[in-house]
Amino acid sequence: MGHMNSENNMLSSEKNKFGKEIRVSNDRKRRTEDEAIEVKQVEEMHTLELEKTIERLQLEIAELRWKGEALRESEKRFRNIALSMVVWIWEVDEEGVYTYSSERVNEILGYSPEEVTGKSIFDFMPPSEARRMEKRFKKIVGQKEIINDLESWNRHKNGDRVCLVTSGIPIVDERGVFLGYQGVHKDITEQKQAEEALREANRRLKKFDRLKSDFISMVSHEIHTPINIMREGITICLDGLAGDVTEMQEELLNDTLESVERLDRLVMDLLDLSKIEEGRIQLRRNVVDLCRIVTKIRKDFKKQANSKNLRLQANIPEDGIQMYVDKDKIIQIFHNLISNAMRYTKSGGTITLNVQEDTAFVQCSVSDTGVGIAKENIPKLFSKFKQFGHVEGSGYKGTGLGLAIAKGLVEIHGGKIWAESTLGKGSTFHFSIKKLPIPDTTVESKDMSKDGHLADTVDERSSHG
Amino acid sequence: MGKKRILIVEDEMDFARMVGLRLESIGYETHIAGDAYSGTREILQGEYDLMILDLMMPAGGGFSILERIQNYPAKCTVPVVVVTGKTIDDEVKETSQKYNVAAIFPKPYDNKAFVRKIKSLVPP
Repeated sequence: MGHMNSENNMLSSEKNKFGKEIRVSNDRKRRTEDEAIEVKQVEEMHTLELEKTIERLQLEIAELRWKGEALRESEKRFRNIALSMVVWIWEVDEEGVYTYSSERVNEILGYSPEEVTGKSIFDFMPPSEARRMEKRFKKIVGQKEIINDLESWNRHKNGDRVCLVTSGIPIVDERGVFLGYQGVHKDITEQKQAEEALREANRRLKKFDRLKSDFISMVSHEIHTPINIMREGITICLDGLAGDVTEMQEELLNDTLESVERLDRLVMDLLDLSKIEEGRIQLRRNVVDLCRIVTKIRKDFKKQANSKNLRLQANIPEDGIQMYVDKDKIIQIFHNLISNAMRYTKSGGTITLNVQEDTAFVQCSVSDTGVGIAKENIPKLFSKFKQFGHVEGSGYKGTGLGLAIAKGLVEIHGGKIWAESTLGKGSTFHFSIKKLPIPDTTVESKDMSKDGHLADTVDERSSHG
Repeated sequence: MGKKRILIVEDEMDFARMVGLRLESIGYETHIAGDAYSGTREILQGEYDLMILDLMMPAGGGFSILERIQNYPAKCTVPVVVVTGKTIDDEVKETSQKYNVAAIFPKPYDNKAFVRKIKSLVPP
């Protein structure tokens, strides 16, 4: 066992030694392995980090790419919008020099966006317009105002005048530094030209209208002069101022005078109607008592009614009705309706004038006990040159314009006119006159001259209706 | 004392003659001037008691006569009756008042009223 022991010892020492060696080696190996693991771990860590970085970078790249695409997309969209817009989109610096221009400039001014960029907005305007607009622009820039529908005249490359209407807003960077303006120009040349043409047409129409009025008043004067001479000559003969007149001559002269009067009425009526139809009648409103006017009209017609053996009566409020109307036109309406009634009413008949006050209107009517009008003819009554019915010996003949004129005169007073009739029983012509507020000042005094005589004589015009 | 003298200023000779005939039949003496120029000359050189004046005439309207005689106070007292085919608008009324026109008769006028007015202004 001893040997064994030594051997064992040796062995063991050897073993130990070896074992030590192995241990050392093992230790080293372990250390190496540990290091390797450590390195690997670090490597792994780095890889992971790298991967993360790559991933992040990839993400960033993707994001950037996406952003780039979005930017390109938005740019494309903007360009498309700019292209499709009728307006010319632009950007200018603080001096008014174009820094961007959309394609539309091509169609509006005939230049390419490249030709425009770098040029001032005023370079495209005629000198006087450029001076005017430069002043405006300086003021706008000074206040950093929003440009709102600013109109300017510009020159197309081919020399044509182009009217632009401009809107824009100031461009300011994130630090608040003012860089210029961006906005749109819109070509409104056609609209401007249309407006100009319309104004010109209006001017010509007014001139034409004036010429026509002048012509009508000239014709009126020229026709009236010979008519007045005829009337005066016949009247002088009838009055016996040119010698004795036989009964036969007197009869002929009276017939002639009647025709002269009729011709005169026709001319007057035609002139009146043309004025009404063209809207050239200007009302000369005054404050008047309608009842007094109707009383006066009744008095004026009394003689004529008596000579035809007609009763002429009036139902009017005793208190009077103050109205703000054109007195002469109101008289003319009554005049035409009464003349009409007299023409179609047989001897022994009655004509009644009615005046009644309403809230908004004054209702008037002229009734007769004449021949009446067939139902189907009532709607045609107020047309020109329409005469219905005939009465023997009905005095002077009408012009066929009286009712059309009455209608026009009622309507410019804001009223209506209509008729009711039964054949063989008689007719009633109704009309309403709108009540206008009575002005405070006594306007009537203006119509009357200070001593009264001017207004008096004007009323002494011989009847023509 | 002689007849009262009336000056008729009217470019329509036929009409003027007829007005003259009518006025002479009631005892006036009449004289006719055919335009504003001879009308002015007549009223300034002649002796008239009344002037009948048309407004629309050659060589200046009727009112031009009234304007020209403003420097001759003695002539401004002659009564003036305007007879016109013109529409009597506010302007005509105002000018008539300014020149102290005694009456305005729009053509056609009622002869009786006309004669009445002349007689009241200058009894024959």
